[in-house]
Amino acid sequence: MVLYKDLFWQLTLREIKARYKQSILGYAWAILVPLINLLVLSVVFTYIFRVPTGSTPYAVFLFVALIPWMFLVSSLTSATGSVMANSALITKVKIPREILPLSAISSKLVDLILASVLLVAFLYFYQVPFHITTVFIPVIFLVQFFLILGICLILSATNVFYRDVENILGVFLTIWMYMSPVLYPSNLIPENFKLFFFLNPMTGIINAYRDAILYGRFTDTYGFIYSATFSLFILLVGIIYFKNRSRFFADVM
Amino acid sequence: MQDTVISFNNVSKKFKKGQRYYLKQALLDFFRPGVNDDFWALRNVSFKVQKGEAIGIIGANGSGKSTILKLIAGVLTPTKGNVVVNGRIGPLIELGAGFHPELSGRDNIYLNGTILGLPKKELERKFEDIVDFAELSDFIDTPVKHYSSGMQVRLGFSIATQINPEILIIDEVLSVGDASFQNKCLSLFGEFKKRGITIIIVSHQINLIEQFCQRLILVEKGKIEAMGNPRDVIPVYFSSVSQGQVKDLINKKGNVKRFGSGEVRIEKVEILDDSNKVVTTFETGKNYKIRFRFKKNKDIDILNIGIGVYKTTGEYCFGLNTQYDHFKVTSKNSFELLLKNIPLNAGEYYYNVVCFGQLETKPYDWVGPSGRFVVSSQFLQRGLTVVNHSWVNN
Ligand SMILES: Nc1ncnc2c1ncn2[C@@H]1O[C@H](COP(=O)(O)OP(=O)(O)OP(=O)(O)O)[C@@H](O)[C@H]1O
Ligand SMILES: [Mg+2]
Repeated sequence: MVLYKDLFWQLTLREIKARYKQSILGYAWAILVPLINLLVLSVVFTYIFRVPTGSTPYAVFLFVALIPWMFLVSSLTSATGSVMANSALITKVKIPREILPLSAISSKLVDLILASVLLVAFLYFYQVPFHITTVFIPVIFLVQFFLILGICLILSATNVFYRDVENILGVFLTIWMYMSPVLYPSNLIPENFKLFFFLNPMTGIINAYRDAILYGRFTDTYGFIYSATFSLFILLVGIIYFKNRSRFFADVM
Repeated sequence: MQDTVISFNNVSKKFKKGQRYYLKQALLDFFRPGVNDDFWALRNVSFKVQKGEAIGIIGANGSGKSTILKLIAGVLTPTKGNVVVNGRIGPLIELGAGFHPELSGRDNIYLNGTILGLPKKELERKFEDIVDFAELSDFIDTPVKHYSSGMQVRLGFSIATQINPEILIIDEVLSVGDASFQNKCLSLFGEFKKRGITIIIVSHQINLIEQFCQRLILVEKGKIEAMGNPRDVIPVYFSSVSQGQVKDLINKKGNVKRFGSGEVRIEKVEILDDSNKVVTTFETGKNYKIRFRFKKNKDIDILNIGIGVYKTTGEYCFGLNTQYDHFKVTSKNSFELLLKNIPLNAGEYYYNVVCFGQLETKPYDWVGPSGRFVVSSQFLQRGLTVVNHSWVNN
């Protein structure tokens, strides 16, 4: 395992370099993309649709959720193709193939960190008071990371056998976003949809981020425990499924 | 005393034929589960390789050689049976752009080294060696996909050999390298053998493999057909490749090219032995007769006939024609060419036949390849020809 630590780093670094080398703006993209997204969505939902977010400014309300959501989107998008993209490697040498989606996700951490710095600036600018509950963020993030990793393992392995998974993913992610409380607070959901809504593991995670950062309160414990359990379960399924499928990767490459 | 480094125990490998990789296919498969497009690339293959052996794997195209190598590399998983490999195995050296076509040669070297678990320090030290051996220092920062095939192979080869693997697996790449690189590889192999590195090599270049390997495995349609000493296995290979037949291709369609103005048509080319029997196998050093049968469609003044013999690997072995030899063809529809002590070494050959008037470049009829044959030899010599020779002490 130690042996593959270096490989993991190298792949991750390569991914990071490759992403930013090609564009003129380089790392600035990592800041610009969330900013542009935020700007557009804030305008639409503050001035046109007017989502009620209480005393919290909508931009802050949105940004707290948008950052983890964008991390999910970019991780899933890049990890899904990660195994296929490295087919030359897979057909020539035996490596633990889990490294490929894992490093694809990890390379997106750079964007996440840069965007988070931006978020801190935002919170400061909007004078959101600092809450001690912020210390829960690592736990929430870990749950989200497990969820993402689990899904990425499943998607990247499936994509080897059915190469249009990549294409469908975009649509799926859009639907998923509207079903998650990214753009709106979860209390806007009509009572009879609530159960269905909370089945979505991202609901508990996003609510937890907001509660910890913006409102300084413990989040809905059951909701979060559900998300954590779900994430762990997906991760487990992902690991088993990937292990099983990876034996046949080279057969179809 | 010797340790087994590779062992195949009843290994079978199944592939799916005609797999299409779209979700639609998943649905179709789901609703039509009965469709059987399984294909067994290997069936019940068992063998063992001892430490330090040099093993050659030979066989026709599609017989399963690369599949065996990929199983050794741990890249493929056997469908049945098991593969045990002990020792650090270098990356599979095969045609195609290195590990990562998008990356530069330099990055590929680092990536490879890392995968094989070389510490960074050591890798930096080795870097120069690798580049030197591959002779690619001018291109080391070019993406590997822009390398020529020979350059790609050199890089892959150089990486795999310079990182001290315990097992080296090579899939038909030596033929891509130029002569100087081939020689370099061969001498390196020699050194590897001394160092006790196990080498598994797949090649269609039988003379090379014969030179180098102490044991051969002949694979045919996914099964091991013969295994052992090259001298025993190679004849089996040649006879299986062309079923021991001299093949007359003249009237076959397919890969045979034919052109000419048509005044004369070559009807048949037969190869006969001393006793005028049509032969099925050649033997080095014997006498043969080639009988040409032709048909004149028009009255012509001059008729010349020629034959060119090539190795199936492309080398031109010899070319003869009646014009060079000032031989006048007077017979109406057939004549013979007598070959004495044919000096061809063991291997596969083909020949082209041409008949023409004054100019060979304006043939009446040109057919190529118009036949194939196999030569077996009892002489132990290397190269294209068998040379009559003796050694003398002074
Ligand atoms: N991934 C795969 N999917 C489906 N069929 C495959 C796959 N790999 C190999 N095969 C089939 O298995 C058989 C053996 O292939 P293999 O590549 O081992 O042949 P080979 O002996 O290396 O041939 P060559 O001399 O042409 O390199 C072939 O019929 C090939 O079509
Ligand atoms: Mg092959």
